[in-house]
Parts: sequence; C-alpha cells; structure tokens
Amino acid sequence: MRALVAEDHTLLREGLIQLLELNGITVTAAVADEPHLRQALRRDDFDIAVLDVRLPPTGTDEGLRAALEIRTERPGLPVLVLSQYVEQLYARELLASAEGGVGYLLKDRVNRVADFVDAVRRVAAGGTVMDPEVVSRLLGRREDVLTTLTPRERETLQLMASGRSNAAIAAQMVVTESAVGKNIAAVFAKLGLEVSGDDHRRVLAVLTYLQQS
Amino acid sequence: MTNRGASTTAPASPRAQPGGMALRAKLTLTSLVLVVLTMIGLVPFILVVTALPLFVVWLGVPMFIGALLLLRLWCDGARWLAGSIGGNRVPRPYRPLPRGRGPAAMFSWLRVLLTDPATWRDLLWVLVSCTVGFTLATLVLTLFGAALFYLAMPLLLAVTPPGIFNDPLGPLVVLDHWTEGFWMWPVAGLVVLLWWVTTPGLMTGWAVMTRALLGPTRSSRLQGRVDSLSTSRAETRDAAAAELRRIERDLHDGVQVRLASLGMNLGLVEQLIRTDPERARALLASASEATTSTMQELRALVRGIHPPVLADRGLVGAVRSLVLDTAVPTTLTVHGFDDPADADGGRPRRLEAPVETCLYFGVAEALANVVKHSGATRAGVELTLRDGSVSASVTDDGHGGATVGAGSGLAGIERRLRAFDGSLHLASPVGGPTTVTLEMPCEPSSPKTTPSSEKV
Repeated sequence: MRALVAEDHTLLREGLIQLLELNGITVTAAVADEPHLRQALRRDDFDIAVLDVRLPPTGTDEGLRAALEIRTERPGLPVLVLSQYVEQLYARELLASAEGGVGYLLKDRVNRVADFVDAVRRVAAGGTVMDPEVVSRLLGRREDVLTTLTPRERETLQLMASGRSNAAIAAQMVVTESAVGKNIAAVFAKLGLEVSGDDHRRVLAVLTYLQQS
Repeated sequence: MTNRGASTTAPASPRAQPGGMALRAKLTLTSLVLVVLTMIGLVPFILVVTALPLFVVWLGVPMFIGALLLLRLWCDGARWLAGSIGGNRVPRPYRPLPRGRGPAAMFSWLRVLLTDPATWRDLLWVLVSCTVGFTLATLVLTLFGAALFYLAMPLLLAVTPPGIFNDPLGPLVVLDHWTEGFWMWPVAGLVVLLWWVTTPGLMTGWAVMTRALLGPTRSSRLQGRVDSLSTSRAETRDAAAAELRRIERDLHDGVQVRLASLGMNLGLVEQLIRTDPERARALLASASEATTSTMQELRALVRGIHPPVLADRGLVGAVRSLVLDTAVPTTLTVHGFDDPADADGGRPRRLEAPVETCLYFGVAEALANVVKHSGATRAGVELTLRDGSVSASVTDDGHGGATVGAGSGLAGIERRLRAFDGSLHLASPVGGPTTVTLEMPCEPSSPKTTPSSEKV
C-alpha cells in the first residue's frame, strides 16, 4: 500500500513516515505545506492521503480544505485527516464530502500504533473511521434516547459509529460476531434506523442520527 | 438581512416641529407652565438654602440631600420642557449616586452630591430661571394676555360699570362707549403681531439657556467617559491577570507534572530494558498512555485560551461547531455575515480577533448555562452583523428566571463586553423563555486566509 503524508512539523512527519514504512505502507510523497500538498494530491501514485488539518502558509485549516476539495474532484479518494483537536464541524464536513474512505483522528491516536495502522488500512479500503471523541461527544448529546440502550448496546453503538466492522467489534468486546449482529440489530431498531451491511453507510446513518438536533 | 437604516435614523431635528399657530399656541402654554414651575422650583431651592445652617445639628444633612433630589426632579421637568422646545432631549448630567441606603450611606451621598458640579449648576439654574427665565416666560404671557385684553375691549366696556376700563392706554385715550372699544383692535393687532414674531425667539432663548445650564457640559461628558473607561480597563487588567494565573497553575499542576513523570518512567525503562524487558514494556505502555492524557489536558487548556476552530473558521464557523457540540438541540441563524469580496460564498466575514474571541466565549457561556440551568429542550443562536455593530443572542425554551449575578457566568461576559463598549441584555421572565443578547460595536475585517482554490 502507498500513502501520501502532509504534516508541517518535521519531527511528526518523520515519525509518521517511519511508523507507516515499518508497517508495510510505502510513503510515496511527504509534503509540509499547502501548495505542495495540492500538487501532490493530483498525482495518482498513492492509495491514501494522511493529512494534518493545519498546514502553512496560514496555519489554519488548509489541510482540511484541500482534503474536502480533492474529494469533490476525485470522489472516493481515501483521506485520513489528523488533528490536535476534534471539531464536530470538521467531522460533519468530512462525512458529508462524498462517498467512501474517510477518517478523522486525533494525532495522539498514533501512539497506539497497531490501532492507527489498522485505521489507515480501513480508510484506504473505503471505510469510515471517526475518532472516539467525536462519537462520545455525540453520544453525550443524545442522552435522552440513549438511556433506552443497554450498556452492551451502547458500547456496540460507540464502536460501530467509529467505523469498526462486526468482526472488529466482536474482538474488542470479546463476544461472538453473531452476538454483535444481534446487538446492532437491537440498536438500529431502538433508534429507528435501517440496518445496512455496508460499514460506511452504517457509520453515516448512526452519526447522522446522533447529530440530528 | 437588510440592516441598513436601523442605525442611521437621524435624531429628530428642531425643524420637524409644528409651525405657525400650533407652535405658538404650544409655546405660550409652555410659558404658562414655566411661570408656575418657577414658583414651585423655589421650594426645593429654599429648602436647600435653609438646610445649610442646619448642618450644625445633623438634621441639615438629610434635609439637604432630600431637597437636592427634589430639585433634580424639578430640573428634569425643565429639561423635558427645553427638549420639547428644542427638539432634542436634554440629557441628565448627574454622576451616578452611591448604591448604599440608610443613615450609614448618608455621607457618601452627601459627598457625591456636593462634588458633582451638576448640583451647583442646578442651583445656579434656579436663580437664572426665576430672574431671566421668569422674565422671558412672562413676556410671552403678557403679550398674549394683552392681545386678548385689547380684543375683548368692546365686551369689557359693555359689561363693566363705566370708569373701570376706560383708559387702556393711559389717560390720553379715554373710551366712553362700548362701540369705541373697537378703536383698540388695531392696537390688539399690533400686539398679536409682536407676540407672533417674538414668541419662538423668546422660548428658544429659554431652551438654549436651559440646555446650557442643565445639560451635560463637555467636561462632564468626558468625565463620564473617563470613569467608565477606567472601570472597564481595571476589570480587563484584573481579568487578564487572573487568566494568566489560571494558565500558569494548569500548566504547573498538570502538564509539567505529567512530563516529569514521563521522563522518570523513560529513565527507568532505559535501566530495565536489558534486565527486565517485561516490566520495561509495561512502563512504556503506561508512558504512551501518559502522553495521551497530557495531550487531552493541553487540548482543554488551549480551547480555554483560544479555540483553534475560531482561528480557522472565525466566529460563524466556531459558533457552528459549538452548536453541534451542545447537548440541547440548538439551531444557528446567521445574518449579514456574507462576504461581498468572496466569490464562492463559502467563507463568512471575519471580525477583529478580540471581538470574535469575546463573542465566542460569551455564546459558549450562554449555551453552557442553557445546558446546566435552564431545563430547556430547544435553543437557538442568532448572529447578526450590521453596520457598525455585531450581536449574538442565545434563546432557550427553559424555565427562565436567570439573573446576571448568582454564578451564572453572565457577569463575567458582561465585564468582557464592557472592554469593547459592548453590552449584555438578559430577558428571562420566570417560566421562560430566556434570551441573552450580547452586542458590541465593530468593523468587519477582511478574511485572514485568502481562498487558494485556483483551478488549473
């Protein structure tokens, strides 16, 4: 697998490259600012773009804007956005930006190397990965309905909303996949959502539900 | 969205008054009121003057204060009259009175009243009013009365016994029969003409004089401005100092401690890595956890200083993000933030950074109150940018009864706003709904980030 990395802090950029390469992901391009990122995004020698939200020249949200634009130009291009902080606004913009292959994670998730590499692979394969903080803050918002869920169902919903597959949820909760399937069906029934097999669509359904106000 | 006009309504001009007969009738009536008012005005004046020797026995002090306050009421009446003649309200120039009540606060009241130049101008005004003012008003009244008198001469001669009204212009002209009374009508015409011509001038003269004495002087206006600026500057300085102390404490007790322990853990790992690799691995895992929680702490700290999304997206984007994060379902309405210079319309207008920060934290606090205290099921945020001012209002359908004090955090917002000449309005009747409105003057600045979406 090949990745494009955009990160302005040299230390973090080098660390990220090293970490990805060690896990069998080739970094074909590494850029440090927005103009270079825009050039690099037009190439087609990568399977996923891993971007920092903040990039020079102004150090605000260039990385995110570039990601959103490239996703309208090249729908389905997998993009994983990393940030020092989580904003619901950015999560919503990323989820609304066309189909497939999108992720939004806090930079410190990189610490858990195995989870992080797994997230990169899932996004590259067209999945959706949302930071647990996005999900838990959305869950906090909907206390009313969520009180009807059992603790197991709640945990399942949280994992599902962050983009895990049934198998991954089963492994995390130490239960069988069919038990996970039952939990998911119960959650969808209680929230009045349609069950969907597609991970990405499933995440969208859950997050959309949680964001409704 | 059309916000022009609201702030540009010109103050009522003196010309926009009824002219001709209606104006003169009104002015004559005003002069009558004035003559009566001048008489009444002497009462508080005399009370003030008699209170002065009574200072020897303490009774003089409350009497003096009461009389001065009574005098102020009377002066308010005169201000209102002068405003109605001049077309512009005459503002009250008084310094704010002390908050305390009762005998204990008496001397601070006395001090404020005695040191306020407006007090002495009030007293001076009474003297001027019962001399010059009285003369002006009686002139108008006399002219009007004389006109009536000469017009009514035939009637007067007819109904009264001879010899009472027979020499209206002195012994030179003697009228013997009521029909001769009509000889006085040309005189009446002359007097009416005189009344017609001089009344507006005389009364305007009175109004100008009143405004000069009872309105704020340039120095009292400046004094008021200086007072409010010193207060808000002191508050801003204290708030900034308190904020820095909080940040220092948070860094000292949080991040620094965590980094120190992280360093210790890593030192241990270095030692143990050969002898006890299992324990070293466990220590490394906990070190990794420690960096995550340190990051969390720093994030919370940064959010409290200046939320990154505010720098990225400005007020509108940051408030939108805040609204998405609020536990009570909340809607956002935005007026007047469209940037005419922005072709694709994606970026709302930016304001000066301090203005954005102040409003952002105000809205954040108001929304936090909605979640914590209001019991609301719905809330709405409205951002409005119009010529020269920006406002943010937060409304909820909760149980109301909110106050600016009482730990609601609104007092802090009000303090921040004052530093920008802004203001906070709270409408929260018991039973709801509650609306908090933050408003401040501002000029929009150009976007800090230029759109760089050139299509190649």
